[in-house]
Amino acid sequence: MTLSRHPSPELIARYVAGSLSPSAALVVESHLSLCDTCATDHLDMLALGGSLLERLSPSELDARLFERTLARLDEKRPAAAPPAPRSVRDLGIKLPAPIAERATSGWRWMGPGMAYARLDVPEDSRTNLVLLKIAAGRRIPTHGHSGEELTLVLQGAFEDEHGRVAAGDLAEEDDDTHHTPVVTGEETCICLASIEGRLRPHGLIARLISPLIGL
Amino acid sequence: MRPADAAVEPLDAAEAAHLVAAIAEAGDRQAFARLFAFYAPRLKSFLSRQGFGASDCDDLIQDTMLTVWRKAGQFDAEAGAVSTWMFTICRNLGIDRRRRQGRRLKNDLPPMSDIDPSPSAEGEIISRENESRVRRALDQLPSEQAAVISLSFFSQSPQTEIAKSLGIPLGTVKSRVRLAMNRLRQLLDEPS
Repeated sequence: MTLSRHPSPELIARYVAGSLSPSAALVVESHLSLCDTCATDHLDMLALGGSLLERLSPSELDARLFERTLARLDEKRPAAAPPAPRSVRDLGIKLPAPIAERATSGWRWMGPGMAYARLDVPEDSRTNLVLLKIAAGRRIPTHGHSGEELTLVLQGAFEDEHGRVAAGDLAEEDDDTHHTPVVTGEETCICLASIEGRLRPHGLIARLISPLIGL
Repeated sequence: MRPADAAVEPLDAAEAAHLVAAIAEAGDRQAFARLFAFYAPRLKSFLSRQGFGASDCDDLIQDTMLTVWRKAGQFDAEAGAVSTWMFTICRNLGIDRRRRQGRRLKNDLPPMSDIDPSPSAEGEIISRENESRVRRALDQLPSEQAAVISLSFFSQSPQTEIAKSLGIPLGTVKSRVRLAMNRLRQLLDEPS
């Protein structure tokens, strides 16, 4: 139901607490990298995390945990391996830093005026991360969600029942929503979306597409 | 009243910062013990609410405390509170662990080669002003709303837990969370 340009405070809180799926966290992180307003909220939420931690009631610890930790104080820390250089396929769009290094499937045809590219998030077993490219004037098939979907617009804009979502904006959809986004303006719209669960498409095209992109 | 607290004196922000400084400057194990006594049991509460099992909790607490020991020299008291620093370290280690477990679930083998596992937020600059605003706002929040925020922040299935702890129907949880968050937001935006 909610469609807002910025992530809701609840979503930033979940991102900060580390409870989002890796794919959803990458979408939020990408928005934060583009949005100064949210950067402040993000810092507030981190400070909130610290304050809440202090106020949590303590749990009982294994009596030997302190000794075991003390015994490890002088351990040498293994040096981190330098990251392997990666060749990243050029998708013809500048990707936000948090996802710029991800391996992708490259653009795949998905229907007239529509293409998708899958981003590789091997650490995520339940959520898909995809880029969608949709030509101006195209209607994205009506769909509902069986889980949470976060969409960050990287280029162009789309509009649906709840309003307009333009470059840099993040839209949150959950399982109570059904929407029919239409790409507005002259520009092709490119979105980054994390999709939890399976899409429940209503239209014929969508039904044809979802097995294609494996959602 | 929280009886488990009786064993450990409360630790205020200034003292915590001194302890970290003592670790950085002199490798002070007494200071480390004091930090551990206060924070380790709270880290455990945080981690178990995040859905980590007992042995994961123990590993992550140890790793968080070892990171504090090793990186004490990088802690900047001007840039934020010890609690926020430790929260961030622990959260990053938790995310890292979950990613590795997710990878195993997905691929059955963990190729830890290509992606830098830890988000960089540890180095985030949080101003003192941020910290004190947040603290003040939390203090002013009605206790029920503070509880809602704490649950929605820390819990893996916040909605169910909030419904249970407040004795309200599941369907009304979202609006309660939104109310509490909005109230917090207002308090944060108020000039001091």
